[in-house]
Amino acid sequence: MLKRRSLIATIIAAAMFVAACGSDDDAVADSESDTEVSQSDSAETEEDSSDADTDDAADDADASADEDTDTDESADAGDEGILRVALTFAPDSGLAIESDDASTLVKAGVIEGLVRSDASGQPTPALAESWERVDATTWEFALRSDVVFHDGTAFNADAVAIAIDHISNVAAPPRSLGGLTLTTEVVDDTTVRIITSDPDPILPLRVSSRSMGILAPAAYESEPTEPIGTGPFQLTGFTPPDSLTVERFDDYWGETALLAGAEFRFLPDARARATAIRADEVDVADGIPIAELEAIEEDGSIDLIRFDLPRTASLYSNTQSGPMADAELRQAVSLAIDNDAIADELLEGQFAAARDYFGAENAWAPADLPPGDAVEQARAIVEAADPADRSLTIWTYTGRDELADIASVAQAQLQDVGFEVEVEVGEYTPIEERVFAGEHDLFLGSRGYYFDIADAGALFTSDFTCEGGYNLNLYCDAEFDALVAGLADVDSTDERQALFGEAAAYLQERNIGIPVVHDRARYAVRDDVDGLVIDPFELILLTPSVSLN
Amino acid sequence: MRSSRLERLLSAPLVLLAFSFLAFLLPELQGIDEARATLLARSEGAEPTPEVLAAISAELGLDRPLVVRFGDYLTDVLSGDFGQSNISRTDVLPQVWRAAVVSGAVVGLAIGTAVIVASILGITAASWRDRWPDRLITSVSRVLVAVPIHVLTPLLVFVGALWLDLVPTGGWGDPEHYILPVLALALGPTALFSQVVRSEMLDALEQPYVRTAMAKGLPWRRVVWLHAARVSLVGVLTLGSLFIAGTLGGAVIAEVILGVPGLGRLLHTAVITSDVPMFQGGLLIAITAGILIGLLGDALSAALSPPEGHR
Repeated sequence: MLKRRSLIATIIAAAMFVAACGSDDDAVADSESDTEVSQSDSAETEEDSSDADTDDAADDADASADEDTDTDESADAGDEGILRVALTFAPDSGLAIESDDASTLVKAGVIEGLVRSDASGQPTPALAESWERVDATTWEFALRSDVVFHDGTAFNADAVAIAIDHISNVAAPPRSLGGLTLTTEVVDDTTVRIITSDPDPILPLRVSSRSMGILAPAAYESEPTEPIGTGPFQLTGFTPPDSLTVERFDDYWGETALLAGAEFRFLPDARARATAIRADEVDVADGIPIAELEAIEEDGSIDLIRFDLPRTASLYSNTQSGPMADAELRQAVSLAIDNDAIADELLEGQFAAARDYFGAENAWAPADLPPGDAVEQARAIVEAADPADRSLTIWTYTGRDELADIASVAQAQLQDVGFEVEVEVGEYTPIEERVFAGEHDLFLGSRGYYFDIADAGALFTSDFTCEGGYNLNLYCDAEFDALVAGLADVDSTDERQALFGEAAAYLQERNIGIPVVHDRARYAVRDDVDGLVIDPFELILLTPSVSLN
Repeated sequence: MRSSRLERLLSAPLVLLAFSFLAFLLPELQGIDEARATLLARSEGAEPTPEVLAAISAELGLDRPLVVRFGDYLTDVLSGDFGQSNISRTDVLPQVWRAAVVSGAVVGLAIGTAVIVASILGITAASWRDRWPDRLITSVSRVLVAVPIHVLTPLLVFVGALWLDLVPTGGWGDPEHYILPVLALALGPTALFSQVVRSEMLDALEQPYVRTAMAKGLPWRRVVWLHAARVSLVGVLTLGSLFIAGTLGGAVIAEVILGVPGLGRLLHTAVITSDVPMFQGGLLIAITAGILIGLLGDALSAALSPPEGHR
């Protein structure tokens, strides 16, 4: 009996050994092929891994794209390639054009607008070749005549009119419209006029936003809209919440894509995205967690692209009631919070310390550092304050890992200067409701400061004016409102930026909210990917120039 | 046993009704404004002005009294219409069904694997009582039972996908994508079941009918597999059927980490976005499946139990 059992055990062990050997062979084969790729690109990898800003990354990517056009071999390889991308956020609104899902469609190269914004955020031609302002409320766009939609229908002024009318009439119009209502007038087949409800000097920039993509007329017959765009790639599959696939659109009006297609996988777990790229299951991954950066940096075949995002974590203060209604106490909070320590030590340098709501990449933003011995100054203000006003509560929410950590450190820093501080962490929506009802002292939140377009006008209006719909500081100041209202008459970029700087300095001086850190994008890209340009607004990803070696 | 099964079957609609209503109340209980949560999920930074929120409330029918909405929902569900997702505005049922099939396959395979492997391990441990195979199986089982799934899953990814490079780190679509989620969900139950089988087996080996069978000179293997193992397997099969429903809880974590588009991930997303119709649809399917599996487990256990006379 024992002999029989031993025999069975031996057979099982042998089977397991054979299976393991088979698997090992595969693993060896895989790792060998990885090695070849990483060796051929090792010089570029080392160079790239030291790059820390977008421009450098973009230059490298452009250089790689140029190399591709010179080498037939790599173009052929790209022709067969399927780029594998892991993204954090799955489209969850049925790919509706008016929702945040539009950002995935733009990244996937499926949809385009009349205008696109360049790396500096300025409008450049896309489906419209040119545009001009006819009068205060009317803009005329001259359209390309060589464009077809993915369903084979022609792109023309009628299609643009249907698209603009749709987006202007949805329940929650895109934030880039800044509350404007748009109507259209078809002049001829390739000329369309867009009329704004109020004078608007930056309409071309507004129509460059992702939700202003133009879809084929048939797309609007269903709800949610169907993603039938004009981009270099067309949608071939969407399995929510798992994946989305696209293939090259051969009738694209511009340069035909080098890649045969791409597969986007949506992995909400940050570690899963990091392990997927380390295991060579994806070529590009966004939102690499801080804890995984070291391991990825040590991997010779992966480049990291990091750049500041137009997003700021701030302590929004209740300027209407409670201790934070006192400008001096707001100043004490601002002086006590050590943004550098939070960015560099707590967040390991993966976030940038904020001086105001706008990042350092905005040349017009004020960059005054806090004066001298900030802590002593803060302590003096708190000591002089009514003891009843020394008690503060910081509210923040789940869903963004860094916020609860920042709140804890801010609590310690504020206690150090004499405040008594409690921290409460909860779900976003109920907290937001209480913030708008004026029940907060300090609300630590993370918010983008550009709404798809590189113009801060919409943020100043929605977040800091008396009638603003997202006024988390409950700030109301007629002088500031007049300053922002002045933007309506300014169309020159330089003049607008000068006004943005003035408005930002105005808020900074009065400590209307305390900006703490700016978020940074952390993309990991395998070094066999060429031609990839990730813009600072994270709008584009898949372009005709992207290829795989 | 039969009357208890009947009772459970008859109470099923009431359980479904109660949970369905609880799901309806979920945003209310969390203090969440459903229209605001919907706007946030569709367009994160959009201004929640009263006009926009009113338009969304009207679109979702939230401007009607709760009782009227629930009544309409029940009428629709009885006619097979589970409504549309608040966020994606697409039909709930096909999405829930697709997710349920994925989770059903993963959980079914995990529990099936656990029952088979645990039976072999449990019987082996009992047969080699207090010798090294028994000690090894028991020690490893104790460790595995104690490891929570949110620790086990990343560990499996690290070892299986990154270190050994045998399986993909996550995702869905190919048969190999089943390996990690099935392992993550199977290891805990395997460890537990193996100890149940071992204990039942040791009891069974002490029973008079087993001793009689041995005394009659029947071969040891025949006695173990035909008499003792059969009795001990009843317990683990019943436990297995109960675990299928319970394993859905662990599946939420495993599915999110491994990117498996199953029912756990669907419910997780629906709760985060306060997508009530999606959450209700997922919950109804999960609870119905749990009730049916429980009944099936009872029936299976009854069929496998040796007749009284045989004991």
